[in-house]
Amino acid sequence: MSVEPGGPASEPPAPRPQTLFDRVLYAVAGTFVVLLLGTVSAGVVFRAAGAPLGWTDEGAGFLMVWLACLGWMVATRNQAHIRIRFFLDQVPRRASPGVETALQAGVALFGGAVAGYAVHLIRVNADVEAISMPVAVAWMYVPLLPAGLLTVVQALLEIRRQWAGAPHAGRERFEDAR
Amino acid sequence: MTGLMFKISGAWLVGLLAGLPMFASMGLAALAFMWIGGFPISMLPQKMAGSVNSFPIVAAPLFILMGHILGAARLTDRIVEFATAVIGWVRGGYAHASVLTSMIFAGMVGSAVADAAGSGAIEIRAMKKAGYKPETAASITAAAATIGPIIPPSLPMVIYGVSADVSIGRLFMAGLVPGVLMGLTLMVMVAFVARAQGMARHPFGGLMNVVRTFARSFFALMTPVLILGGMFSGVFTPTEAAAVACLYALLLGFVVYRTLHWRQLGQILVDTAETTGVVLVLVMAAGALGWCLSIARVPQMLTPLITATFDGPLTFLLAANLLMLVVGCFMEGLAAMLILIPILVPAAVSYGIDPVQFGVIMVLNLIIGTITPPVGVVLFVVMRIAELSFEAMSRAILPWLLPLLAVLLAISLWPPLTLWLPRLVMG
Repeated sequence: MSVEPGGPASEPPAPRPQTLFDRVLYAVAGTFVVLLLGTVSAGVVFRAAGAPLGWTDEGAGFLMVWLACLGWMVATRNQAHIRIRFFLDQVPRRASPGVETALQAGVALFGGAVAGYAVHLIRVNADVEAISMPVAVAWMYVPLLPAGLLTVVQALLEIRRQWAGAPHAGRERFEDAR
Repeated sequence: MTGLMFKISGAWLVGLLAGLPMFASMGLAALAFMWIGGFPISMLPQKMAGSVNSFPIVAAPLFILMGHILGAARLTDRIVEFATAVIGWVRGGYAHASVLTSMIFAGMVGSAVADAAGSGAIEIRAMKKAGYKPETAASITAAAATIGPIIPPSLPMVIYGVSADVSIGRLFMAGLVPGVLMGLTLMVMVAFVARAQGMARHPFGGLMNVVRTFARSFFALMTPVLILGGMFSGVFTPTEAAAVACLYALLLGFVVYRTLHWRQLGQILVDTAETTGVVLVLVMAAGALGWCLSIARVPQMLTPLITATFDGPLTFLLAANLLMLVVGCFMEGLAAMLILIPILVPAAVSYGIDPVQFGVIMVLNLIIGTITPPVGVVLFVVMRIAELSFEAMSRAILPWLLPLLAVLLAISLWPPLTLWLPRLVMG
């Protein structure tokens, strides 16, 4: 079997135009991937050197929450979240905006609840310190606020787009999920 | 409380099937339970954050990152070359090489889709060029890709381990023997099909060719050795092994093979963040919903019902297999797993089934769902590469399910296939 250059035969979907917000979000999310890798690697290296760091496990846990929320935001912007579209695609074209509006309203409600009650968690944990790091536990809940808010905004944008007559712009994204 | 949870679960299922994003449907169900049940709603974000604030789950984004690095560095090409030199000369050799490549690649990346997309294009092109039927070439590639999440490392096993509170190291070890068995049974199937379809033999390139391709791919082939050796010898935890493997993959791409460019790094990091977000927001929402299910004592209520229905572990396992296979056909595997774990794992434990064995069974069931219509994602990937219709691909894949189902049956009926290695290594 000879190896020839070239990737899969299918073309990837056309990329969505990136806004300044997207570029900043991508940069921050990418930075957190590097930070997470660096933290776990530091734990391995320093332990191997006989000087284990006490904060790397807890630090990685905090970074994990941040990365999960930033990734949630990236996936929300790229409409990459997993959903079953089979029955939705059977809905008559005229009824489609109404159904999609109801679904997006549900998404917005969830995002709003997460963001709203994250504020409460941030407040009550503001003076509770983490076990091995000199930071407040509240920092763990901070990324839920922008993630929830972005979910609300994106759902509202999607509703607006539906009534403007634009087709579904999402792409089913399962790569590497299993 | 239990009645309320069942009513909410009904509404949740309707929302899910209506097309609500899965994370939102699970999150809304948790929100509704907390609101109607009189619990503080702040439990929702608290449980969501808590479910990903753990060191073991950090392995998930790191293995995702490694997959993206290896894909961008195009290390699969060298592995395909090596596998072809080793076994490509027998009848149906390119198909055997495809299976061997998937087995090696499975030790580097824990994803069926990454395997199919990474090596599928090269393998299918070569098999078609050698005169294999396109349907057969595509089916072999798709079936072999399912080995990816069974041989460690495995993203679904990380998620299962965290959700069901099972050692990820034990799960990884438990997957090794079934993964190798999958490869071997697929090779047996290939041998039969090769004879039936009169697939051509190719001349053996010589031992020096094997040595040359081995040398060319040596450092890539060391990736699974580093991951598995580090974990099984107790030097690294699975999470640390993922981090070390990422650094090793970067070293291979930038220094050893020089197939990776700095300008690719940004896209790799963003893709990693996005895939992590897609997976972990499900884990977060499932964490909140799982808390609601346990407060409503749903597992405690369902377990006696299940044990009263099925009179032994064997009948339970067969019924659970059937359920998971059907669910896997219609639902994305990780989402299905997160939904089924709180219901099936307590029942399995009550029958005396080891949760490690049940984890491997669950992952294999749901991975088989990736190559079955109507929503088999690996099927979609391979179908596009091979330029086949969905109908043709759906028909062609059916016989290739048999070896995988045989392995599924074997690991269900005979626990040592999954439990022997972890018990040997970890006690």
